[in-house]
Amino acid sequence: MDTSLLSAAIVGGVLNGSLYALLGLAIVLIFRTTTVANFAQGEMAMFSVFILIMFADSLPLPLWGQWFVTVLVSAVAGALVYIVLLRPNPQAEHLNLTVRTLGLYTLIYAVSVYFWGANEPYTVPSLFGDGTIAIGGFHISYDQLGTILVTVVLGALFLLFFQLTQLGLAMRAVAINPEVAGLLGVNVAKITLMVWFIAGAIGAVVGLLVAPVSFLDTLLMRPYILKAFTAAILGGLYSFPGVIAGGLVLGLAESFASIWISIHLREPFTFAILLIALLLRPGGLFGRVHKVRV
Amino acid sequence: MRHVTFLAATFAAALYATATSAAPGVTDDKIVIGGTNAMTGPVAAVCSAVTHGAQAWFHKVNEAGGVHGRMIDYVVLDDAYSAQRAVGNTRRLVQQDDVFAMFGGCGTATAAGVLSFLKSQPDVPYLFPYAGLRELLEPLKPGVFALMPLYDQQLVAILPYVIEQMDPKPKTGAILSNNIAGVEAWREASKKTFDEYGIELVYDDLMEVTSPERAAFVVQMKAKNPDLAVIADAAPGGARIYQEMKRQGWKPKMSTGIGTFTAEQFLSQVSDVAEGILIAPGFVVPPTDPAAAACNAALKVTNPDIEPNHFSVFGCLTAAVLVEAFDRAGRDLTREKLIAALESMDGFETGISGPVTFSSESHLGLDSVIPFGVKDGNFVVLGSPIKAAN
Repeated sequence: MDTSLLSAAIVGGVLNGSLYALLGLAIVLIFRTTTVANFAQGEMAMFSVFILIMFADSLPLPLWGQWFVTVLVSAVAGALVYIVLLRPNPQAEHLNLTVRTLGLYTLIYAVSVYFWGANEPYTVPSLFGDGTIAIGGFHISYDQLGTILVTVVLGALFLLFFQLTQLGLAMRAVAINPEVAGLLGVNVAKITLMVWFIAGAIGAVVGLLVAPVSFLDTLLMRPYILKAFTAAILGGLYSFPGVIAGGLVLGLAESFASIWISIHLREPFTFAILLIALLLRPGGLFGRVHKVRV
Repeated sequence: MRHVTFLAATFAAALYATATSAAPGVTDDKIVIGGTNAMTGPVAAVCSAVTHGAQAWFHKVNEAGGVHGRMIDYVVLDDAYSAQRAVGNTRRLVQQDDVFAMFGGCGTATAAGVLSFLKSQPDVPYLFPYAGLRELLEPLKPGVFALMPLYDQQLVAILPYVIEQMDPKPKTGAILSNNIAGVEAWREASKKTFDEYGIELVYDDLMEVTSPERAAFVVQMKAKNPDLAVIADAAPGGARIYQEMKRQGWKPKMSTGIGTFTAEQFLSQVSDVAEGILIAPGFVVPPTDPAAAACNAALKVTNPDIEPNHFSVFGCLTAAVLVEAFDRAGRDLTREKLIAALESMDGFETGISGPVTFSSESHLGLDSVIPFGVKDGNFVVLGSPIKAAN
């Protein structure tokens, strides 16, 4: 295989894979602590980018400052989603809670189309500039490099936060058993609020990384959310390292499938991988089969 | 006796009124026409301008008293570039709102949807969609008229022109097309031209118009390094391709495409990459041309926030041709008279395009494309109109 083609496949695979992984982290974080599959995670990310270009970019701040404001506002919006949408009637079944996120998904999409659909797609500035680095016959752009860097740093910080901080410990306790965590003095409602806050922030970062590469439209995150769920399932749905590995495996698999097999068969190929992985390891690559005592 | 005469006169008047308003969508003071277009969704930024341009021109005509005393009411429903929604919109407009004709719109896939529905309603005219669909014209359908040359006709016209401009002449070529209705015709047209000029086809693939994925295609095309690339894509997808070329540090020596690449929104996103390597076929003058001033002024009245562009000028063109046809059809408007009026147009000068000609044998109004290039971030007309022969 041509080396520049191979390099492009690796970079493309790692790039997309790291985005799937990051979005998957937000999904797994919420799922672990609340057992809610947040189907609105992608639309929340898309909405964050609209926050940037419709509101934050009028602030007298450099682009990184506007990014920071957008991530912060998105994090608060994530927390608000929990307060308004999931906290009422928390004793409802998990399916009920999950369907609420499906409703939110539809609502965010409809509102975005109503306000901004007519003029899409929008150009979103990249935080990393638009230059390219040439290495031999292979080119990697600043935004590709920046995206990979941000996802690696954010993923590492996230894992460290979860393993080494008091808040991370509390989140893990809530994830394992919220009732027992509550009895041991952990404020479960506050921890859950923090989880949604963090997931909102992570989603915003993913949206802000994707949009400059593929233009912003109201369907921005549709290709990513399904892959992020796939990465999460591949990784075992409860495992943070698992979702990162799942995302990278998925990204690289589809990238190589598009070169070796066909661009048009890469999605069937990647979902075939998911099926095979689940048949051979029902708990995912890094997961365990969770048994429930009845 | 006088009472009976009065009743008879009233009955006759009622009968006359019924007879004169027999054409659906036509009343004493109004002609209602319908349209479906991508006012939201992946191609809305470009396609919606076609509707805005047409509505602006109708508004201008209505302000001047309408046509034979009737105002033109253009009802447009959003299909978000979904063929299913386009079919649903057409069904509603035709069966529920009783429009006189389906008019305008933008998008080949959605035009195919409208056309499929109108097979069951052959009396309803379907006029001037911005779509390169051969089925609009072949076989000839009494009520279906198009202004825009088909995509394969555009490529047959523009591709030899592009090759002639290149020095040295290209040895290898690539074809990257949207996987939509009619794609085989324009792929074949491109391959035939490549064969005629001895250009080896080194890459040929199809893309999904609704998917944003373009990077993988550019990776593949880059690996083949063609001298000339034919890229038949919607404006947003095309912009992604040129951006991706920039990202991957590669571009062909020259590229061309279909009329979608004459959208100013497309250019604003790719002008730095496309400058010097893109020649695209236009159908109307650029909005910066003095001939487009009346259209731009009309748009400023109805949509002051929208920048005039190639698509809004095309919208004005479609409206101007329809107004001319309404005028020729006369006060006693019927669908048959409209069709006869259109078929009577022979070299109708619009001022913003080549002359428009229809006949009972051909329902395609424009037969030439204008070569557009990119210079200093703007579209420039590179030469005289090129005949887009079938």
